[in-house]
Amino acid sequence: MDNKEKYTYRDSSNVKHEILLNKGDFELAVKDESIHDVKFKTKPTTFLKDAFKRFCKNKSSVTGAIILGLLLVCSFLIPVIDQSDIDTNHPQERMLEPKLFNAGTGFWDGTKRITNVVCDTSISTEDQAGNVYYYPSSESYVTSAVTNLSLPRENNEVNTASEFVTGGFVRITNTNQLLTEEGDDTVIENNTITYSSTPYSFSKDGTYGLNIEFGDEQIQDLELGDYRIYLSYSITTNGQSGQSYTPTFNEFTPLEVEDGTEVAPYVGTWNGSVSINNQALNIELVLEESNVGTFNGQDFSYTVTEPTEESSLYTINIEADDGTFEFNLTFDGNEEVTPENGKLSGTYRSIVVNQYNLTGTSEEPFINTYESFSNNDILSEIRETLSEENEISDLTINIDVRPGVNVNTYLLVKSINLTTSIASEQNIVSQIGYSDANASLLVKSGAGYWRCNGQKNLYHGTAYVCDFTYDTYEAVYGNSIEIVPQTTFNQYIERGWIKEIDWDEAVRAGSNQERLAEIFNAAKTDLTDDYCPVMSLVRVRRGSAGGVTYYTIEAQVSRYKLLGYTSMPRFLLGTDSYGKDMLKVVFVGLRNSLLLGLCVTVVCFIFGLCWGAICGYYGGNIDLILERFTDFLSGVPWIVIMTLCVLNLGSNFGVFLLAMCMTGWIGTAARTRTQFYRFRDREYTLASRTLGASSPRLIFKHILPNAMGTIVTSSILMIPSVIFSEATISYLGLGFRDMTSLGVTLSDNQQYLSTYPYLIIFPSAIMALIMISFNLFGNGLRDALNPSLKGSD
Amino acid sequence: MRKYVLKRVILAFVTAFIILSVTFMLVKLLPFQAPVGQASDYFRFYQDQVTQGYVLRFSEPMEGYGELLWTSAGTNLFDSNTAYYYYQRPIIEQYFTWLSNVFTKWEWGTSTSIQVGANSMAIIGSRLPTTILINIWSVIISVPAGIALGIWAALKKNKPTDHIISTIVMVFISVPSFIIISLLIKWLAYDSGLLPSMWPSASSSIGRKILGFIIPVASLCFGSICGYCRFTRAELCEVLSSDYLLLARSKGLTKTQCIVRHALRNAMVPIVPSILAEFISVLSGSMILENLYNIPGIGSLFVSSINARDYNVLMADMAIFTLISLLANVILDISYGFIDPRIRMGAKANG
Repeated sequence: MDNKEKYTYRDSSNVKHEILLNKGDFELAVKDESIHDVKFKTKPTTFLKDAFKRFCKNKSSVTGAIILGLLLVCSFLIPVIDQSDIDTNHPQERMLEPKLFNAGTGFWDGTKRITNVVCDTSISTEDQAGNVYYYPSSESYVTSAVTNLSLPRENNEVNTASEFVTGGFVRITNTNQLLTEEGDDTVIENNTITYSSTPYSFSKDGTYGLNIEFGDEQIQDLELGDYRIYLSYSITTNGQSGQSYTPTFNEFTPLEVEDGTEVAPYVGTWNGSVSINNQALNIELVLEESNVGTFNGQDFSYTVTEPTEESSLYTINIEADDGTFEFNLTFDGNEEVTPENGKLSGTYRSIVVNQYNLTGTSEEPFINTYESFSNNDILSEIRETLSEENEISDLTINIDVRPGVNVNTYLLVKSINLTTSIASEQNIVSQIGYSDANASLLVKSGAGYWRCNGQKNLYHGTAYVCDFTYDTYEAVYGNSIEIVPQTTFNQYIERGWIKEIDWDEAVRAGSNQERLAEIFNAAKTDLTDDYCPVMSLVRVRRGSAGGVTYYTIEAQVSRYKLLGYTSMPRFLLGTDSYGKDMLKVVFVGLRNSLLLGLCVTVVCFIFGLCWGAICGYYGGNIDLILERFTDFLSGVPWIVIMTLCVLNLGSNFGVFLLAMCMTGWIGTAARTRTQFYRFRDREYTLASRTLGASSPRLIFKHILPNAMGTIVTSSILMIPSVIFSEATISYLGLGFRDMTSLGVTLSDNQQYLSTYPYLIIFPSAIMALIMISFNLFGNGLRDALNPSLKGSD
Repeated sequence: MRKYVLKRVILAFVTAFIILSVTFMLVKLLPFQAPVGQASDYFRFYQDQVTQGYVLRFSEPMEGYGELLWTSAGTNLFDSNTAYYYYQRPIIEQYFTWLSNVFTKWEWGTSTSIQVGANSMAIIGSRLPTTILINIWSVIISVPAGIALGIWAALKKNKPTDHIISTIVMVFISVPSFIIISLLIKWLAYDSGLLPSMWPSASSSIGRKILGFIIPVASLCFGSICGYCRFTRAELCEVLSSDYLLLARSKGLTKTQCIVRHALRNAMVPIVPSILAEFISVLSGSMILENLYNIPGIGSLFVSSINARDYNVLMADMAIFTLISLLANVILDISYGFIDPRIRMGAKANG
């Protein structure tokens, strides 16, 4: 114990102590190695790497980031890859359904299911089981594009008819005597008169189709322009001879005379119904130039030869200055119309009239108003107005229906209600007599109105409707028989798509298809199958105008080639109302929206950062004054700011950027300010300040790097909110004018929500996806950069 | 406390005054919009503007007053020698006239096309009830539902229930309201035909009118429910992990007692003011909804006044929206003070 040494130490209260210790009591644990810190076994990591690791652990955020990335890539690639033109309108290609698979697969195949369409019973097919399928009206739908046709069924909206009728007039005249004659079925209740028609068997009076065909010779001397054919005629009715009427014909086809070599179509067709009572028909034809108003030199007078048999033709000859026009007047009487006894051409019409409401006001008279209905109208209510100023108020509702081969398509009037809310008009209403096709047959004709005509009895009507699938692509891009202008054909020859054709030979071939095919095949080149829109000839006619001989080429044409495609196009998301490819429209819109979001965020970030840094770093009075300013600015709803900016400066990218930046930076500024307050008084900042660091050094070296994480993540979340704001403004009608964006696309197509829902569904899905993925990504980023915030939303 | 409230209210008034002044100037900078109608309507409108003090009338064309707005010459209203020429007053002059009109007569300007000749505020007054009604229904439904969902999610934190609720909430908060509205209209109205596809007119039957509420209220609710749910969940989670709740448990309270007596109460402190503020601010949020569903409220008025370029109505409508948002802020601030004892005490201590 002699080996002791004296050691001294000081305790916590700074009192000196002395102890004696043996040297051998202690020995070094490690003798040979120098003493130092143990090296880290793990690799050193940076803050960002650590954040990335944390981010990757959050699965939903990673999913969000991947979706976001995909959308970003798509928004930049698709506008480049997709070559469709979205700057100009393509009216022919509008509203094509989305198509990914081939037509007929039933899903995403470019077809549209159409329900409750009135059938055209003149076009029918029969399957093996003997079920007869009628097609929808051939005018509205291209028949070749129709598939999955259902068996026709009665439209439940309309009362069942006991029997069917094919045509008729409804005429309302202001005569008392009619009322008494129809007294049985007339109920007068206050000022409402309800009339129901009664079944009656029709006589052989019929509805007549008039088919006017001009020969080549008559037309060649006409000058350029549109011509319309007006017909007027007088009819002598039974018993009361000498009364004449001038009905209005509610359909005419303009006769077009174009440049000398192209005349199409040169057949003028008029289809209308003529009420006739086995009387001679005097028809005057006046050919007028429609846009000038008159065209003289073409005054005609008609003579009509009565048919000798019931189902034969009326022949009408017209003397004109330069030639004879030949008319074929066909009628169907009680017989079915067959091609032999008349030329049936033009369109078939189906009309459903459920109820007429005639309501009078003194502002809008309906004197001598003629209602004409377009194809497939299902009219539940027609409103006309009465006037008290005119002694005789006439409404002639001219239901013009062509007889079909099967006469069970068409539907007529169920009842007529006359009401008026104006006291002075009650008298007029009560004086109005009315009749429809039925009643007119009950009343002797010639009592001041027409006999109506039809084939069978006319009572509550019915219409057959069908459901079918419609291939929109086939309808637009499929083959069709069209008249190809000769100049267009010459262009094909110039491009080498086809060789010259001896047209005279083709004319001589007439409608001999084999011969025409021979002629056409002889003219084929290597490029014909790939490029030439004309696939085969149907008929070639010769004509001449102004001394120049021209050919009218009727040919089977492939429409997609005509529109400049080499194969049938396929639009993944369909096309919009301008015929633009939705896929490209949506992604160009997304790109523009993102671009706006990015620009706004960058500007707001920089400005807000500076502003917040000044507020937070200096504090005191500067902070107080600047804060008041942001208080004022943040009090204004952003929608007001945007509206004022757009109204004052117009709606383009720059204005949107300005308007959105005006309030957008406030959030960033507030967040920066808070962060600066938080880190400004930390010890390390104070230490640096005591060492003499300048303000810029403190801000950029010590405070900002710590605050950056929070500020950046909140700024990223600004992009979706900018997209949202832009879309909102578009919905208010103030969106971009000169470019497209997601919001503009959505608000433009909002009107098609019920009819073409795909126009809304796809942009909405993209919008929802970008919003959700941005939020997932942003939240994940925030959690990763600020581990302390994790778990709170 | 009184001083605090007074300070907030005065500040809000000053803010409103400045904002509305700037808005008025900006609206007046837009090209003057003539009213719709015949010459007699024009005459009545401009005479009205003259009496209100926005337009000057001369009996001959004048230089230096800017563009001639309208002249009654050649309209057959007068003989040729008593024709009137109307010019705008300088904007700053109009501004003071407008101020005095608003403060003394509550006249915010005359409508030029929506209801020609009507006072803008009267138009807004006639449309406000519809907007408020829809919002009241939405609040009545969304507050209990949102808070309940939030509590449920917080109690089952990090369990499947919580994940499902949080995911749904996240989706509905992210998806913009107009998409939800469009889809609701498509599915519930067009496809199934259960509900009317637009706001029923005044002459519709009662049943139809009640059905007409479903889509607008539902589309407003989705957003609100999710908002409340997320907020409640976050607040409750924070409270649940606090030390005093642990203390409450350790002194022997059951879990239910803990949650009802301590956790919920404390979590409600920030939630209640947010309900008030949300109710007020959602009034302006339903703008697109009203537009898409054709609801005759103040939101659709905003859109139609933009489309019709009826700037006086637009001005009044923007004023309403601004006032509503300021009011929401003030109520939020003040109610925090009333509800949160810490702020109340702090305010007292400070004076």
